[in-house]
Amino acid sequence: MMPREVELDVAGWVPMRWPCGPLEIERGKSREGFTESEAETLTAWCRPEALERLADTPVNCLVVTWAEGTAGDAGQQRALAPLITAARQRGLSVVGWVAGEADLRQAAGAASVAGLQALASDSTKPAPGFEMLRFRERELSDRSPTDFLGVGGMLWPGLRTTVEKDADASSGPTGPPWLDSNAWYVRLARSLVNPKTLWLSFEPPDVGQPVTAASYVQAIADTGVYGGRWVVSLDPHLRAGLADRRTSALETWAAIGRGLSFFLRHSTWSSYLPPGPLGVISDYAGANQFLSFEVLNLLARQGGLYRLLEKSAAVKLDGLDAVLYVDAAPPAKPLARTLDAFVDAGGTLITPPGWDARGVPDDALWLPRFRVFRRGRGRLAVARADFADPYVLAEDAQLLMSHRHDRIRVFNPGTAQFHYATSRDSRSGVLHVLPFQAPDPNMTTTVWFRHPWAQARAFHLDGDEPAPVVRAAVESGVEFQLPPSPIYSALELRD
Amino acid sequence: MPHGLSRRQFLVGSTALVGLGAGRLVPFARAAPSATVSVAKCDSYGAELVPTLARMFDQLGGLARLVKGRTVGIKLNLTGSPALRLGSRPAGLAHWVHPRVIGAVVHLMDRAGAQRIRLLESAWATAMPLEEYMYQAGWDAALISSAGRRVELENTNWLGRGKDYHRFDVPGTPLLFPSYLLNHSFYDCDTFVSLAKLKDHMTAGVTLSMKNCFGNLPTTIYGDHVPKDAPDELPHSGRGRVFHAGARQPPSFAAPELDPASPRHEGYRLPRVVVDICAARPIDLAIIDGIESMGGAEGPWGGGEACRPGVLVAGSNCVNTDAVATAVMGYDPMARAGTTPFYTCDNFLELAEQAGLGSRDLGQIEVAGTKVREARFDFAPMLKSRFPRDLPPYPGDKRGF
Repeated sequence: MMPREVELDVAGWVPMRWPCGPLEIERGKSREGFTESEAETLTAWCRPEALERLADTPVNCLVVTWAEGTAGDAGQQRALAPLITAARQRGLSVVGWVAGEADLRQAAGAASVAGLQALASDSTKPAPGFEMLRFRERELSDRSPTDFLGVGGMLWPGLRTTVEKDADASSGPTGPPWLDSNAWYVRLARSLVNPKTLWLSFEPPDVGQPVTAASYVQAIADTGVYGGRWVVSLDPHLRAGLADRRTSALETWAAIGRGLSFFLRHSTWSSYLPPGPLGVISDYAGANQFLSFEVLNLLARQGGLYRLLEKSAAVKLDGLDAVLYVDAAPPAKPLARTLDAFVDAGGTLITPPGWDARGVPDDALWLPRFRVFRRGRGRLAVARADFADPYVLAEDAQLLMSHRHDRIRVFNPGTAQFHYATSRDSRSGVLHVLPFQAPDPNMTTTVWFRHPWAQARAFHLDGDEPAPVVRAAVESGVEFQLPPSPIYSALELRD
Repeated sequence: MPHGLSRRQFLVGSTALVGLGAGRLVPFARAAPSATVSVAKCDSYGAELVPTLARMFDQLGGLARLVKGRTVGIKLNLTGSPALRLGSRPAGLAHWVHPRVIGAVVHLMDRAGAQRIRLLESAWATAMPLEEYMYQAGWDAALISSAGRRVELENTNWLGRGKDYHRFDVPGTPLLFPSYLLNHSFYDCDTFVSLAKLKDHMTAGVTLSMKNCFGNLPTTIYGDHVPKDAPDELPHSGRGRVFHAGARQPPSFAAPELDPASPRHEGYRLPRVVVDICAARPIDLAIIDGIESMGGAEGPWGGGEACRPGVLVAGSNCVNTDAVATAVMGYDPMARAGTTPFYTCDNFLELAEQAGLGSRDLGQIEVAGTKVREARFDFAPMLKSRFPRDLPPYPGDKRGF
């Protein structure tokens, strides 16, 4: 058994799913359309020489299928032995994935003999004497402190397009498309559990051909902007392409390597947080889980800057303009007193229906879904009906704060998602730009900041050196024009 | 209110949605009138703006006769998302009427005795308060509101603060729909102003004070995905399927189009909706901001390029005013359908003239202030900056659409 005293540098692991071996082939055969060619690829990836493609990438941890609680487990573990040996010789770590039904003790025993560094599983069963990387379910009902947190089954970040049949696309400007993203979830998970290391596991979509390099980089960036790490997983077409050493596959793989390296080099950015004027309070659990999760997701999508506040913890409201209390049940008395004081001191409190609507009705901002009252130096906005639509709620919360006080505005955003975060001392900041479609070169993206950042530099994955970005002082802020990039880029900001 | 009619007299023909009672048509059909149109060169949105506008309004007979003691509704031109810019140019310097023009007009109307001024726009795909829409664009809506003593803002793309939508019947011979349902603000004003931008338009040829009123139409009723039997609660889309393409009818409580067999080409339909809506909800004062604008398209989504025509146009007859403005743009208001700038559409000015809303013949229109030939700024060269569109050219024979 791996002695527990050995310190594993899990935080330094850059993981990648390494599907290969007879268990993977059997799983593939149960899927419609699985071909002999795919089986050959899975076999090829089991060979030690397959590790050569990790050269020039920061990937240093393989996640292999180790056990599924079937008769094939032993055969899988035997087949992986040469690969594991070769990996260890290259200084790579190997983690074995154990499916929930397998006997963890048995799997751990085999892992120890084979020289794996750790097992990963979403099982909660004990595995004494062996390093376990526990994956929890997305709902995070278990928030016990842990150094490592893995979450599986997340979404592939990207653009979701649904075009209605017979839709007329010629009639003018179009509304915002739907974007899937996990960045908000990384913030949530780090806030609720506060692990040193957070891995997200999700698979690339099956689009019938290799997923693009830009899409892979978005997956890395979307997970990485707030300090998470995606367990890199390649689509079968890309794996086959790499096995055949096709140029396009190698280029995609190189882009993935550059993306991973970039986020390692700029790891300090992951400690930055949005200068959010809005606090979102919830227990993020049980009956409140869906709405609270979706509000965070949609606030991020709408560019809303927020601070995540878990109800049971001591909430700090300093620096906030408004607080959105999401949960249906009213707060406990200490929190209620804190919120009252916040309003009296000038903040805006946004609540579900049923709150004690003390104060003078305020017609200055008319929003039909809320009754607004002036109280002390602040305002109380009580919903007229239960919060039903998280998109509308996220929008309403920002309207109740008023866009007059926006901290950032992005013009010609295209289909990119923007993540603005600042250091604790607010002397530096970063704007991550994740385009989910190649930007229109005719539509210059301009970003306005209320904070008068003195300078900005644009970082691109392909460039070695950042480029200064021209600053324009405008009324009530500064503007920078973003150099167009079809792939992730970042604007570093400094006072 | 045109020709001294009070709001009550005008609204005899308009019926609230409640009860779905039939309305009587308002008899606006008349011989094509002509009224003075004022043109002024104005190089910037600076200190010269207010005195220039004041002079123009004086040339039209003064604002007081139009606004004193009245509620004034001003339809702005804030088309498209507030996050859109032409390159890096703020919207007010390209496809939106400039905020200082709005402020100047509000100030002058307030000074002329307007009792209440309501700024109106159907904010793109949202029910958010209009001031929030402006803030998103980086404008200071509070500053605009402070230009007058009693200034309100209303997003007319949905029910808003009203209890009902109001039906506006098209007098005379409607061209596409017999009536249109609008936000209460178009009902709740004595004087209606169209405050537009001087621009090309990819579908209608040019967009000026009349085309600006296409934005009167709420997408909670005329939107692409509205339920069949009820208004949408919130706006979500444009109006392309109902008006441009004729691919669907509005919900059952709104009047269907007169002839479902009529052409489905947007070049046929859009000019007719524009004429209908201007007949149903007449414009008492048309003001066009052409100080800085864009050519080639009506918004950055269509391509286009920035320009500085340095001109303002205003008039109390929208057809006259738009005809003069079209000429200022270097086009011929008498141009036939299928020719520049109306090369994929009917000429809405021609249709409006035929409907008796006003004359487009420059020979019939008195121009005060700067002569058209001195104010002229050619927009045609900028048409090549428009993004290509896969639309059939105007075929000449409307039935061939």
